Amino acid sequence: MLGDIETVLESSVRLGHIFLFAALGEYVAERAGTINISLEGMLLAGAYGGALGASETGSPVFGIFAGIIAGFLVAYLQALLSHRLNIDQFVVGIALTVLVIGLTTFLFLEIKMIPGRIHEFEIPLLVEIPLIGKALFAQRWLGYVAFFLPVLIWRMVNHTRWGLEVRSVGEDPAAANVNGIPVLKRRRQSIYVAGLCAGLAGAYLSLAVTGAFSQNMSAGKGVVAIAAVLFGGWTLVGTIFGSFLFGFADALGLSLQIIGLDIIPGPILDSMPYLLALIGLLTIANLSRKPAALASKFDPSGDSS
Amino acid sequence: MKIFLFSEKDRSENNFFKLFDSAYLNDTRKLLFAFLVLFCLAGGLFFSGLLVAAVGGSPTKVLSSLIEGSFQTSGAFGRTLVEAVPLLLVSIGVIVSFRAGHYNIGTEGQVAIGALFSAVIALQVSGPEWFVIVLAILGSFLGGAIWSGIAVGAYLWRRVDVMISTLLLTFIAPNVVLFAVSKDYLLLDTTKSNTRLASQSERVPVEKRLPEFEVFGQELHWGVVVAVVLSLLLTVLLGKSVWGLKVRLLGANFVTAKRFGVTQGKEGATALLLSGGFSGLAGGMIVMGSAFRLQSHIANDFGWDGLLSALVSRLNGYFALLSSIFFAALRTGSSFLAATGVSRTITSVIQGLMVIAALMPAALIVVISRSDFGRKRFGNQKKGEDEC
Repeated sequence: MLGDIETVLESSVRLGHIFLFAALGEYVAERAGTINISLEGMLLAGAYGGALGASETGSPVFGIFAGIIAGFLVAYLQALLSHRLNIDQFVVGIALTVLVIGLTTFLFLEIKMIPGRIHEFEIPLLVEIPLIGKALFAQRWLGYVAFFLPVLIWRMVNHTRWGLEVRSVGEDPAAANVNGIPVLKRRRQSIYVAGLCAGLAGAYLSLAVTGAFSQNMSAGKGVVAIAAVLFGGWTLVGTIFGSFLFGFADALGLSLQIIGLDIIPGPILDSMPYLLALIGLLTIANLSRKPAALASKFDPSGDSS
Repeated sequence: MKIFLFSEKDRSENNFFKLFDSAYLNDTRKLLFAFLVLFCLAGGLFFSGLLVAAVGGSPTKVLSSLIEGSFQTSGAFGRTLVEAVPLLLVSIGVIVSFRAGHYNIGTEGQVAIGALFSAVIALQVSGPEWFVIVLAILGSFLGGAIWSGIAVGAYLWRRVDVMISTLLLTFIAPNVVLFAVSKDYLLLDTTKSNTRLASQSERVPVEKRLPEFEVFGQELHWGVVVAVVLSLLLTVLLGKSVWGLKVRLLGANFVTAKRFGVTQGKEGATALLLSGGFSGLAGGMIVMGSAFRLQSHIANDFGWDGLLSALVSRLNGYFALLSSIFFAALRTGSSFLAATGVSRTITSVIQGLMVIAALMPAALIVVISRSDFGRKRFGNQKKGEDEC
């Protein structure tokens, strides 16, 4: 029984990292007042880029960089189309996601890939801690980024001039504009951050979790990551908590089926993270205050609507 | 077309935008804009061709085999039209919800639930055949509406973003269907033919399927007629009726809409429920018209493709007729691609590129109006204004 719990914890940390990386980026983007439906596309592009890079160069490190770049490219397109050329950001998000799904599926069949898997790295002593030791300190090494990335994002958003400007752009773009803050530029930059993080999440998915790319392997993980940000009430701690909660739900569904507990039918377990995200959105999200200008359009040449 | 185009301010200040505003459109300008749209769509096809060439295929061969598979071989056009039925229904629903400013992008799930409802009714209700068929189709509408109704309820109760909730529901729906078809007390096929107990329902008996008819040697079913009539009806309602005006007003500016007594709660919810219902209807058409049995992947990307076809039609109900046939042709034609050596998944790339292409006219207008040429000819924007 204890072993089972350990297994569940281990895989929930592993799956939670995917949500975490993506959600941290989306957190920055949402603080700037944008919602990226294309997070799903960025994640998938990152997964494909990671697998392709690792397979072409033979080194997972290059794979990770390739994944991050792939995520950034999608983010660049999203930012370009939605916050420079004024096309509706949701429509752009849908279109880009679909394009990425199509492209990766097609290229996956055209180019054969054998990506290596990122090595496991145990931190001595700490790994001996019962129950959580293996889950936290015997990960594939990319997983340890999860200890640093939230701190980085926290410093960036809360302790730099750039972060202050990003937050002000998300709260009141008109006032920010009057104060000389380039609203659309900050929003674009925040989307780039989302792309970099989602690319990392994708690379982690394909290089550390599964060790291979498969068609449409993100399967809604980007959406759940967005839900994690909403669930966390647009706070960093809440976002981290939400990511791991959804990771836990995902892991629970997988491992209960493997262990063979037949109390809850398989289809319900499969939809656990989505169901939990929905319930979470219904109960907890929107109790807290969201960025006032979330999902609003901003037109620098005129009065805001 | 409000969501693709420009803000009120752009329209009043920038002469170039006036060129394409419906208030200023004369025939030449309409023609010019239509040309721009066509140019962009052609560009999308061109890039698809480039991609085919890049992986070592022949673009012309791919095109000709797509056309052959979807229109030229015997009965292929009929198959394409039958395939277009669910796409058209989903598109029309999406158009209504997008026009109302609610982004219902969970159509794939609503299709699956609609299919589930119609399969339950078709397999388990006894009675005269025509009655069962009508009931199953109505049931599928109800199913889709219920599935989008969850998102509506979440929105009205807690202001949960409709986009996120419908998307999450999309990933739950196939599992609900899978649950239904894997339990023998629900829909699992327990007849002798299904010895391996695959997760699927029994086949809908022949007399309870949508009746078929033949035109010019193409086999169609009555769903085709129903879909075309319904979509034209809804398009006309959206464009000409008071209800349509309210819905479009809500999507254009919900603050103004509120002043006029048009609320998210009433008109917005109606539009979303209608949109879900139409997606469900598409599911019903799939079960009763072409698949005849329920499986967990019954929606088979019809929901997504319908959504894309609505975007490619630029949220215009009449053009949705054409774009859904185009998307259906990609589906039926893709099976003929094996001979060309290019994998059939190229069609999903083409779909994505076409959607991007449909967004491009609006982007191009912005680009031109910001360039030196555009400023000199049409604009009165000061230089450096759009730097941020």
